[in-house]
Amino acid sequence: MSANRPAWMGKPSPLVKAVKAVALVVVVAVVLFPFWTIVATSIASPQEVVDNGGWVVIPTSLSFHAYTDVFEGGVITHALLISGGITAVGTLLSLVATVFLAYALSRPSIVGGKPVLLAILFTFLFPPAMIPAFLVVQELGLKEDYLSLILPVLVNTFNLVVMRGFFQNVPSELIEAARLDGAGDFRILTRVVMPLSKAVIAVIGLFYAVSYWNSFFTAILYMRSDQWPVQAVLRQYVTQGAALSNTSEVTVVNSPQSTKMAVVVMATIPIIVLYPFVQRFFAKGVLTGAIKSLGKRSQP
Amino acid sequence: MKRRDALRLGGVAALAGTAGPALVSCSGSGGDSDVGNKGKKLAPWPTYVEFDGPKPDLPGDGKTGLQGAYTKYPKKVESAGWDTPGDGTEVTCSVVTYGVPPKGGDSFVKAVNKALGINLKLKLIPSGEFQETMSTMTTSDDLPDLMMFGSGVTVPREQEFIKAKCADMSEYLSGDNIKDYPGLANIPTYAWKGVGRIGGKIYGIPSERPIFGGSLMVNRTEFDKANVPLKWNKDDYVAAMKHLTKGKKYALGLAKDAQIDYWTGSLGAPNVWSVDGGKFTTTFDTDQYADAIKLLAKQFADKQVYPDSPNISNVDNKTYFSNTTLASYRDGWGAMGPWAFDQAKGDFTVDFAYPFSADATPWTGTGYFGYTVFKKAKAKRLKLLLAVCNFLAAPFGTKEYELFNFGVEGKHFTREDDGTPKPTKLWNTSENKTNYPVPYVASAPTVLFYPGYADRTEAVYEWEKELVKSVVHDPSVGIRSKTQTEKGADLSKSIQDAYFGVIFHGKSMSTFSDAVKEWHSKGGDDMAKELAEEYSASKD
Repeated sequence: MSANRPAWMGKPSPLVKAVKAVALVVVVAVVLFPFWTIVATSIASPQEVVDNGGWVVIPTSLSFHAYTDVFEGGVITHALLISGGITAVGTLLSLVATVFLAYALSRPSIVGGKPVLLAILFTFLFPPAMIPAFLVVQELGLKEDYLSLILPVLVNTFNLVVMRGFFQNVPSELIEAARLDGAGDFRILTRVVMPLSKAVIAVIGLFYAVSYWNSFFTAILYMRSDQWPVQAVLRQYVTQGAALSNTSEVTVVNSPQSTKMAVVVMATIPIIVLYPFVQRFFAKGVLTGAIKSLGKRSQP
Repeated sequence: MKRRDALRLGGVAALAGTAGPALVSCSGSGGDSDVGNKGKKLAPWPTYVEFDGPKPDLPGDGKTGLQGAYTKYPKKVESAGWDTPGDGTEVTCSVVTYGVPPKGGDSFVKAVNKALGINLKLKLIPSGEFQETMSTMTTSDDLPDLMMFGSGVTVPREQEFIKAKCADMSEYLSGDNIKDYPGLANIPTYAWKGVGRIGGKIYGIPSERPIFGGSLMVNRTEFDKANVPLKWNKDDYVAAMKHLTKGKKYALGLAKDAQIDYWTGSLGAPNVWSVDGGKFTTTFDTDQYADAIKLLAKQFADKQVYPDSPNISNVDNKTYFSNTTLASYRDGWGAMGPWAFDQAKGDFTVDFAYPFSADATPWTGTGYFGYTVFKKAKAKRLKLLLAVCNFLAAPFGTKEYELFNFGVEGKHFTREDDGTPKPTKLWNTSENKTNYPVPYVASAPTVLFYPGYADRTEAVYEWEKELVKSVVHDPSVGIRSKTQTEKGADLSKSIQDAYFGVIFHGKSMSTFSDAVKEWHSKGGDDMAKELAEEYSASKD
C-alpha cells in the first residue's frame, strides 16, 4: 500500500480480492437464482414441476408447451400490447407534463409558483383515497377509457420535485444568455435546459415507465376485463390457485405452475430489455437529489 | 419551500387524513341499517322442486344435502325445453373471477350469449381485489343489472347496500312463486337458507355448493398399505400419523392459512356456535376444540407435520400431496375431482377421510359459494333477468348445462365412447368457464360426477351418505349480527393466531384461553346476543 494514499485507496491484497470476488458472486447468485428458477420452471414439464414440489432448478427435459399455450390463447399477447401502449403513451405524457411543470416551478420569477407547489406537495402528503378517485374518474366519463390509467397519475410529485431541483441547478448565466439572444421560455427549456438534463429525464422516464408497466389495480377498477394490461392478467395466472385454496370451489380450471412462470417471464422481459439503455444515466440521476450543487459544478 | 411551510402543510394533511376516512365511510350507499329479520314478516323460502331430468345412478336427497351421483354420463341429454330468455338487450353483471379475461371473439362467449338471447357483459373482478372493487363499485350509482356477492368475502355494509339499492325479489322467488323458474326451483333450500333473508325479504339467488365443510384429503393407497381402517377412531388416527411419517415423507400437511375444522368436528366440537335454550355459545369454549389444538400441536412437535407448514399456503400442500411428500392434508370439498386424480403421482387413490370418532360432529359449510342480486328495475326487466338466471341454472343432464359447463361440442369438447364430454385443448387453455365465469351469475346445483372415475364417484358418495347422518350445521349461517359484520373477521383472526401459536410455536394452551377471553370481551359476547335474537326472529 502506498504511503501517500489513504487506506481505502490502497491496492488490495490477493486475499481481499478473492473475498470480494466470492462476495460478489454470492450476491449475484442470490439475485439471479429466483430469476433462473422461474425460467427453469417455465420450461419444465408440468409433471416434473409437481414432482419437485412446485419449483424446478435444473429441468431434466425441456418443454416449451407453457409458452405455446400462453401464446395460443392470445390473451397475453393482447395484454402485452395494451401494457406497451399504456407505458409508451403514459411515460411520454408524464414526462412532458413533469418537465414543463418542473421548469415553470424552478423559475424564481414565476407568478403563483409557491401556492401551486404547495398544492402539489399537498397531494404528496395526502394522496386521494380509492373511492373518491373512482368517483372522479366516473364523473369525468373516463371509465373504460385508457386515459383513466394515465391522467390521475400523470405527474408524480416526487419525480416533479427531483426534476425541479435539477433544473434549479442549471447555471442561471446560461439561461440569461439565451434570453439575451432572444429565446423565450419554451426555447430555453428545449434548447438549453433539457439537453443539460438528459440524465434526470432518462431516470425519471424509467421511473414512470416501470410504474405504468407494473400498474394493475386501477385497470381492474376502471377498465373492462378485455382491456386489462399484462400485470393484471399475470396476477390472475399466479394467484388463482392460492385464491381457491381452502374453498369448496369446483368450477375452476387451474393453470399449471409452468404456465404461470411462463407468463411471469413474458411480463418481465420488456423491463429487463429497457434497463440497459437507461442504466448509464443512473449514477448521475441518483446523485441529483443528494448533491444540490451538482448541476452548477458540472457545468464548464 | 421553507421548513416552517412544510410543517404547516403536514399539519393540514394530518387533519385531512383524519377526516378523510370518516367522510369516505359516510359516502357508502344505503342508509337503511336495519337489515335484520327481527320484527319483520318473513318471506317464505322458495319451494324446492326437483327437476325431472336424467336420474342419478345413486340417488341424492336435496333436503339432507346428499348429492345425487352419476357414475357415468347420462345417455340421453336433452334440452330443458325452455324458451330463450333474452330480448337481445345488453345485460351487465359483476362477478368474481379466478381466470384470465377471455379475448374478443371468444366462441364460448358468443355461444353463451346466443343461447341466452342477450348481450351479456361480465364485469370480472379478480378474487384478490373483490372486496376493494365491490366496496368502490357500491358507492357509485352506475351499477350493473346483476351483482354477485360472496365467494368468501364480505363487502363492508353489504346487506345495507343490497337493501337500499337492490330489488326485493320475494314476490318472484318466495314459496311457490319460484315454480315459474324451474331451474331456480331446483336449487335446494339449504342454499337459500345459507344466503339468508335481509329485512325478512329474499334478494339473492345462491350458487349452490355441497354442504360438506373441510375434510382431510388422504392418499388412500398409502393408508391401505399401513392397514389404516376406512372408518377409524382416534387411536387409529394417532397410529396412522406416526406410521406414515418416514424420512422426508410426512403424514400431514398444515399451512399458515389452514383451518382445523376436520379435527374439531372429529372430536365433537360444535360447528362455530351451538344453540341451547335460545342462547348462543361459542365452540372456542369447548374441551373438544381445545383437544383438537392439543392433538395438532403434539403432531407438529412429534414432526409428523410437514415442518415448513407455518410458512406455506394450502395451495403448496396440494402439490406436496400430489407428489406424495404428504400422506394427507386438509382441503375443501372442491379439491376432490379429476384434477386431483390426474395429478396424483403413481396414480395413488385420492380419498376423503371419515371423521375419526364415534362422537364426531362433522362441520358443514354454508351450502353456497356466492349469490346474485338484482339492481332495482321495472318488473318486466326483473322478470327477464330472472329468466336469464333460470336458464343458466339448467340442471345437469340438459343441453343447456352442457353448454355452460363444457362449451360447444366439436369446439370445446368431444365425446368419449360412453358420451362423456372430453375437453379439447382450446377449453383447457383459454375458452372456458373459468375465464368466462358465467356460472357465477347463476348455476345449477352441483352433482357428484367425476368423469372417468366411477369408483371415486361411488367412494365419495358413500362418504357423503355416512356424513349426512351426523353433520352439524352452524346456526349463525344465513342470519346477521352487526358485531359479526363489523368485527367478526378480526376476532376470528385473533383466535386463529392463538391456535397457530400453540400448534406451530409451542405456546401453552393458556395463551389460547387468554385469546378466547379477549374474544369474548371484544365482541364475542355481543355477537352471541345478537345472533340469538336474530336466530329466534328468523325461525319459519
